[in-house]
Parts: sequence; structure tokens; C-alpha cells
Amino acid sequence: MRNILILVKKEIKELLTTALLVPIVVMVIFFAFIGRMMTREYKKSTIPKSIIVADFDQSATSNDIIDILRQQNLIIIPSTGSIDFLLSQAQQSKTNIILILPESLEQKYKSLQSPEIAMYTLINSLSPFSDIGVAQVKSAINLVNESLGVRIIRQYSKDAPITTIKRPIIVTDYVKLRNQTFPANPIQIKNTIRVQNVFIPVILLMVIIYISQMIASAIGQEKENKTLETLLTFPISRLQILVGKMFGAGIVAVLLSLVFLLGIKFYMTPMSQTNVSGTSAIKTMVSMGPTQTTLYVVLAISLFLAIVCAASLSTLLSIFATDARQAQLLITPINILVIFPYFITILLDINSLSIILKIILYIIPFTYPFIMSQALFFNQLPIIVGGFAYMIIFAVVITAIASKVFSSDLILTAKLKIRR
Amino acid sequence: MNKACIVNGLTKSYGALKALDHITFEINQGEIFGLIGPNGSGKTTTLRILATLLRPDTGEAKIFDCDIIKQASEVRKLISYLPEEAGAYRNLTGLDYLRFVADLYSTNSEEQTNFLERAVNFANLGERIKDKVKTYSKGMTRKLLLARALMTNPKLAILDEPTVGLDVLNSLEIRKIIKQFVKEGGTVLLSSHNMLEVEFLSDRVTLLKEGKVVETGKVTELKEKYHARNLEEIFFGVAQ
Repeated sequence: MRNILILVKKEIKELLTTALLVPIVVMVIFFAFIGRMMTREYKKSTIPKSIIVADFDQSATSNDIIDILRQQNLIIIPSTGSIDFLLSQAQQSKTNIILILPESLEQKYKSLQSPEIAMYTLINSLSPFSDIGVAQVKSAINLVNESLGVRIIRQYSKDAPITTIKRPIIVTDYVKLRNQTFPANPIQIKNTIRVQNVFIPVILLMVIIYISQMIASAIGQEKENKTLETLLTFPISRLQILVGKMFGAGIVAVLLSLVFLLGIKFYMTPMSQTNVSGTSAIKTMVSMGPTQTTLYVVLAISLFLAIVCAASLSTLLSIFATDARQAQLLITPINILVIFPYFITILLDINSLSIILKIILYIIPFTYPFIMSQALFFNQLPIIVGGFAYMIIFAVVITAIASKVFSSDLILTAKLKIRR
Repeated sequence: MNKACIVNGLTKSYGALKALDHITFEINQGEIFGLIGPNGSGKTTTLRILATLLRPDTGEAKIFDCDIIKQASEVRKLISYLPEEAGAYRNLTGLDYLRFVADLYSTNSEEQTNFLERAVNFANLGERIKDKVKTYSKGMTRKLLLARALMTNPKLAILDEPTVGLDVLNSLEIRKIIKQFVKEGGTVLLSSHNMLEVEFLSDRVTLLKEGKVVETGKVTELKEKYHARNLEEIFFGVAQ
């Protein structure tokens, strides 16, 4: 028994190293941070939502409808005018939903003709939290129907058809997307775009993490296997050595990611087919989006630039490692820099974040590939062009620094200091 | 006599530690020049500076008239460096490793074939040359690396402890390869803390102690000067 205890003690000492603990502690801090962000966003999403209501009927029934909406914690912004005016007003006031109560609403309701209320939703975010407003209005309208249905039985006609009692008013959904308005369910539209883009963040995440690990291993192993010192005396420039390593690792990372992507695609295909069952509205939406070629070109460029950024950064960090294990530890910050924007862009709407968080996200070069497809969908040209320019500058500056360090004594002196 | 290497007043510090303190020596073309001294005397630092891996703090060094700082890329074409703790790419076969180096140095396929044949002869590993490096013994790896260092016919081969950690037979074989390389017109700068080996191989030697040159000359002349039977006794005398 005593021997086992001695052995267990030794194993724990061997396993619980700084190399193991540092990434775990960093990840715990990171998840705590993400958790706080999510809580804040959730709280933000639960504060009363504003909606524009254009009441063209000005009747007791339309007033009752507005009262029920108010009781459901919705802030009503009364307005009137053409639909174009209302849409531009919504755009300016950052209100995403417009309800139009038509003329003769009360008359049609009383004569059991199920009047139609038009609900316009402006889609400018794909964040799951942005769905909460729509769901809140929909649930309020259900209550309106419940209340008006009861009133039909009590006041107007006990013999009214059951469908009219259940839905005395009908809501017709319209969506405004990329400056076009068309009839469609906003949640269904958002889900379709999300399903279409589901692979993009996954492949980006994998490629960037893979390439960092490949480079770290390549440089770490050169040091560990004592091949670097010889390589540096060959008649080739240091920049050539760096570029060779970066591209070699890049190709392997892309190949590995493609294999994984293929597996994920097989797994996801049945789900995506179910969700993209084509109503005419969805077909309209898909035809409005960027063409497949544009999407692929923009994503390919952003992926390539992200690879170069990851390669240059991991090269720079790995230079300071003495072996492959230490190199893996040193690139932990890169993994965090990739996972952070990945989570944020999947879960939250970047536009609704605080200014500090936005700046942090825009400083991280790996944020851009994650937001490119959305930026393309919403025609946000400055983000696309600015993102490309920033990633190029980042990669050039970091590669130049890495090349400088690679050409200096530092590449060997870290080891020398330890040896002496 | 043409000079293969001129070292003049090299100094190098790592923080507070002065690794080299104004060292000066010259190497003639076609000779084996030994750099000897105990561990930490500055041998490896000197070789790394001459191999363009480290920059000296002060002083200058030229290899076949090329400045090691200003013309580093030219120097790299003239030299070949075998570090003390060198390794080869473990997942390549010995032959693939030699081919990789031959590709980097050669300008055409004929030259590449020549380099490769020369290396295979030097390494003398038989069929094992086609096995992965990770299956090699220490002696086999060292022979492969020495073959790599000499295959391109460098004008100056810089060898740091070429026989370190090897058994007698492997050491003898490596010494034979070095002698053959010089016979064919090459020049060698080697370092070792094994003074008897240096005495056996070298035409001239420089003795280093705590980063300073304490003596330079032909082994026979130094023996006479210090009335010593071998280099170890000379070094002991100088160190006193």
C-alpha cells in the first residue's frame, strides 16, 4: 500500500506541470468571461422591446390590441405613414419590428372576417438573442387572439366558426433584408442563413488551431531534435526558412481540416436538408444573398489571410520554445484568440456589444473570417475591405518581427541561457 | 599561405557572462585546426559565430575573405557546420535526408547526384541508409551528419566535437573521414575537449580558457615549448 502511495504521489507530481495547468486556468478564466458576456446579453435581450405600431383604424379594438401588447412588456412607438416611411423610421430608431393595424380592422373583426395585421421584421443580425424580440411579439399576438376570441363568444356570435374564434386576427409576416422587403417568417429566414453558414466557423476554427499547432510542432521539433542549428547554416535566407515552414504547415492544416469538414458534412447533410425545404420566401431570400462564387471568394481570401496570420503569430511565439511541448504551451494564446471570436460571433450580435468588446474583437485578426459571411449578407463592405486590409497588415508586421527574431541570436540564445 | 579563416578580437557576452574575450587566431587553407579547452571555455560560441549563427559583440572574422556579418549568405555557401548536438529529421530515411540537403546546395541534377554519391560513400551505412533516421544508433546518426557536412565539398568544414559520445570504432571511422576530406583539399576547424583526439587530427591548435586564447601553434612546437608529452600536459601547464 505504501509503495502505491509513493507511486501515485510521483505520478501526480509528474502530471501536474505548469504546462498542463496554465492552459486549463486560462480556459476557466475565458469561459467565465464568456459566461458573463452571455448573461449581460441575455439581460439586455429581456429588457422591454420597442416596436412601432401604425394604427390606421383608431378603433376601440385596435386600442385594446395595443393595450395587450403594452401589458406584455412591449414599448409601443405610435406612428403613421407609408410602409417605406415606417421602415426608415424603424431603421433610424433601431427598432426591428413594425405592426400595422389596418383600416376597418374593427369592422372586419366584428363581422368575423379575420382582419390581417402586417408584421414587418428588419433582419440585421443573426444572433440567437435577436430572435427574442420576434418571439415576444408573436406571443403577445397569441394573447391578443385569445382575448379577442373570448370576446367573440361573449359579445358577437356564439356560433362563429372555431377557426375564427381561435384566430380572430391573422398576422402576415414580412421581412426586410438587404434593402428588400418580402413576405416571409423572420425566424425561418434566420435559421436558413444560419444552417447555410454552419460549416464556415467550424472549418475556420479547425484550420487556424491546426496551423498554429503544426507550426509550433515544426519549430519545437527542430529545436528538440537539434536540426535547427544545422538548417540555419544552409545557404538559404531565414525568411525562406520561415515561409517554407508556414506554407508546409498551412498545406497540412488545410488538408486535415478538409478531411474533418467532409466528415461533418456527412453528419450535417440530413439536418440542413430538412431546414432548407424551399418555400418561395426562402428561395427569394437565397437568391437575394451573395452569389455562391462571391461567398466562396470572400471566404477563401479571409481563410487564407487568417492562415497567414495564425502561421506568423505561432512562428513568432514558437521561436521562444526550447522543445515541441513548450511550443504547444506557448501557442495557447492563439487558441484563445480564435475560440473567443468564434463563440462571440456564434452566440452574440457583434453590433450590440459594448464599444470596448467591439474594439477587442476587431483587434483580433481571427474575428474577421467569422464575420465575413454575415457582413457579405448584410452588404457591410467596410468590414470586408477593412478586415482584409487589417489581416494583411497584421500578417506582414508579425512575419517581419518573426523574421527579425529568427535572424537574431534569440533563436539560439534561449537554449544557450538554459544550458549555461 | 592563403588564409581560410581570420579571427580578430571576437567578443561575445550572454548577459553578465563573458563567453569570448577578444579571441584572435588564423586558419591556413588545407589544414586541420583544433580548438581545445574545457567545457564552457567558449569553443562552441566561437564556432557558432563563424557559422553565422551568432553575432559577435565586437571584433571581426573572415572566411576566405568574406566577412561573417556583412557577407553572411556568402559565408554560408563556403562553409559546412556540424553542431555538437546535431540531429537529423527523424521521419526521413538517411538517404532522403542527404537528398534534401543535396537539393538545397546543388544547382543542377548532375551536381545533386555527385553530392549524394559522395555523402553515401562518406556515411558508409550500407543498406541502412534507406531506413528512417529514428532507427539509427548514435554512431550511425553522427556518421550521416558528418557525411552531410562534407558532401557539398565545403571550403571550410566547422565540426563541433565530431566524435562526442561515440565508441572507439565509430570515432576512428569519423577521424578517417575527416583526414580524407582534408586530403581532397578541404580545410577543417574542429573543437573538442578530447585533447588527445585533437592532437592526433590537428596540424595546429588554439587553446581556450574562460573565453580567452591562452596559446596557439603547431602541436609539436607546443610540446617542445612546454616540455610536455601531449596536449593535455600542455594545457595543464598553460592553465597553471
